[in-house]
Amino acid sequence: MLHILGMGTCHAETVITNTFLEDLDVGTNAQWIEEKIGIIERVSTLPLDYIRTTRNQDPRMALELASMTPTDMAVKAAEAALQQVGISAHDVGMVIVNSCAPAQTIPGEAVRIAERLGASAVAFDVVTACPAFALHIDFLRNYEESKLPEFILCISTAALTQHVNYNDRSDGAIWGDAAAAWIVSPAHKGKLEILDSFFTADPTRCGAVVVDTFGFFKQDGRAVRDFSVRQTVRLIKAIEDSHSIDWNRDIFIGHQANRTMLEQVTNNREIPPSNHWHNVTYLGNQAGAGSAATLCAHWEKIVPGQNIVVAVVGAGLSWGSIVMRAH
Amino acid sequence: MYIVGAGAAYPDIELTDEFLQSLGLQLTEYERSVLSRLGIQSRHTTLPQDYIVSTKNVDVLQARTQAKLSPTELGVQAAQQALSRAGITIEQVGLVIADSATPYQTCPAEAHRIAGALGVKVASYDIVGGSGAIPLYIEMLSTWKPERIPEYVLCVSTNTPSQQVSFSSSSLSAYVFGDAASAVVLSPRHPGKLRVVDSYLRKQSSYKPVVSVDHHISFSPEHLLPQEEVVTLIEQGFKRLSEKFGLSMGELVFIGPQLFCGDLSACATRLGLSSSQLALDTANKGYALGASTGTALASRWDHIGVGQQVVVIHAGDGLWSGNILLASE
Repeated sequence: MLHILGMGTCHAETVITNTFLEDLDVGTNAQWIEEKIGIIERVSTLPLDYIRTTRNQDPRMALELASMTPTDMAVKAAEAALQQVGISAHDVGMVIVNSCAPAQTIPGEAVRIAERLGASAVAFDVVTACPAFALHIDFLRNYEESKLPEFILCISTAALTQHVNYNDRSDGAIWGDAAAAWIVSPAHKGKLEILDSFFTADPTRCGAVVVDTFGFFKQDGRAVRDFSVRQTVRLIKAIEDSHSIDWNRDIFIGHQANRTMLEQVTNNREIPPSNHWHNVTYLGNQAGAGSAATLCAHWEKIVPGQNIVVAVVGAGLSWGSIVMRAH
Repeated sequence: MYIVGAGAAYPDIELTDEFLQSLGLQLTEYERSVLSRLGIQSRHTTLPQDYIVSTKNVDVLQARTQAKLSPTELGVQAAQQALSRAGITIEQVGLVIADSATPYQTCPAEAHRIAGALGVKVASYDIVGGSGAIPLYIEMLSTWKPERIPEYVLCVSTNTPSQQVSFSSSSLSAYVFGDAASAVVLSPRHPGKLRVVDSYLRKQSSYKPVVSVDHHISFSPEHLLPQEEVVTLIEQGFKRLSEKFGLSMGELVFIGPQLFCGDLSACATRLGLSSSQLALDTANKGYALGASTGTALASRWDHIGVGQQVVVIHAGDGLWSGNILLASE
């Protein structure tokens, strides 16, 4: 059995409020944003002055002005995770990373991060999009456990505000920049035991959400929103059918796309607000880092015996789930 | 584990040394010595020559509007050949894994775009392992639980580095890189043309990137392994495989590190291999990063006879080194 031993996160520090977005005068207002997507603030690696004056019309400039790269955030998240587990980078035998918008496409993000951490581990990128948490766990479950190293560092990092066209009234409200890291072990028992996982995709719909390498994030918002709610509900139902889930005890964490979408899901599955953990309201959609960052933020609130259910969806279109038992 | 099919795709536009020299891209003596080690005499590109002449590809975004093929389109072509040689349809594939160092989009994954273009709903994601993509996939799947591996796995590596070469300032890069895609179909259960007898891939202890890509591509020859180290790694690989499994040196096919075609020719002589036993795709097609090992295998596919061994040795990209022994059955 695989266990998650510890986690860490890093979030960008610049806060973009709904009022700031309203003041960009691109046809949106603070109240509409909050009512529509339930996000009040999001965090960015970009200076507010830069967004205000340029609307980020050339994302290549964003990279030069950003306070942190996806690699920088990932390194900080990884260091926090390593510290929580009480191991050093030298103890890590494998580093796998998901990055939706890396500053460099080669060497891979995992290689750059491992190098910065001083880890002499095997390092490669394992990339989907927002369902990275589920993909990484499901990917590791493919291995014969005897073939895995003692400690595996998994990371998802993204600075998608650097790829937002701030002249678009919708896109500017969505994203927040963050990285999340989690340490997995086949050899050591930890707080969370992996009971089950799943990952798949429908690539025939891969054009629904895209990030151009040197350009903007674009999505078919309505189609993605409907898909996200429907697919997340399906994932949860499948888990309810195969595991003893009690929503008065167990915890649901979804893809931190937006709060209204998540509330549609929890209303459908009758998950009480107290057992629905999320962080999207004040951090924005953190892509593949969101669900793991949410779990990390609630790490001390995990109660032994609880099942933690993660159901995540995203570009690809791809989706996946994890069921964990707390010890 | 079996390789049941392999495919390759190249664009048909060739950039000769004479063409590059006509652009004013002259090599220094040091760069000529590096190119001699790499053994690259020509390269293929997805860019029209007229575009290169008129713009020198200063803006890589413009390259994407002018290119004849995207990395995804090249990847699809390689995948189709691999599927055809495997004698299966894409619907029989249960997992698509891809790698690209030069994707047009960083999200979704290249695997999603390739699988989408092939029209299949299937689990898919990228595993980006640098120039050792196909060896990494073989090694990785060899360590997975058989019951977790679908009947067929399609692995694709596709790169269009020439679209990110500056033909105005980066002389050596212009001579080194070529565009290509390769694909293999792996199966844990269905016997195919090549059985994976042994797979051994390890990360190198210290990492210095030979190639990096942000806007334009950068080639750092100072980070290349010295020739003697490349030769040593190859000889060690042969020694290990020979001692463990026995090698028919006079008959095997050798797919060496495609970044070092010049070194390979010298090494082959020391190993007693004839030039016809060497797969040297990069020499005439240019270096296509992770795709190159797979294209070398795919180009030999129809000529590998029953009972023949294929030795794949990977080294020198600064990241991985290792060897794979395949047996034709």
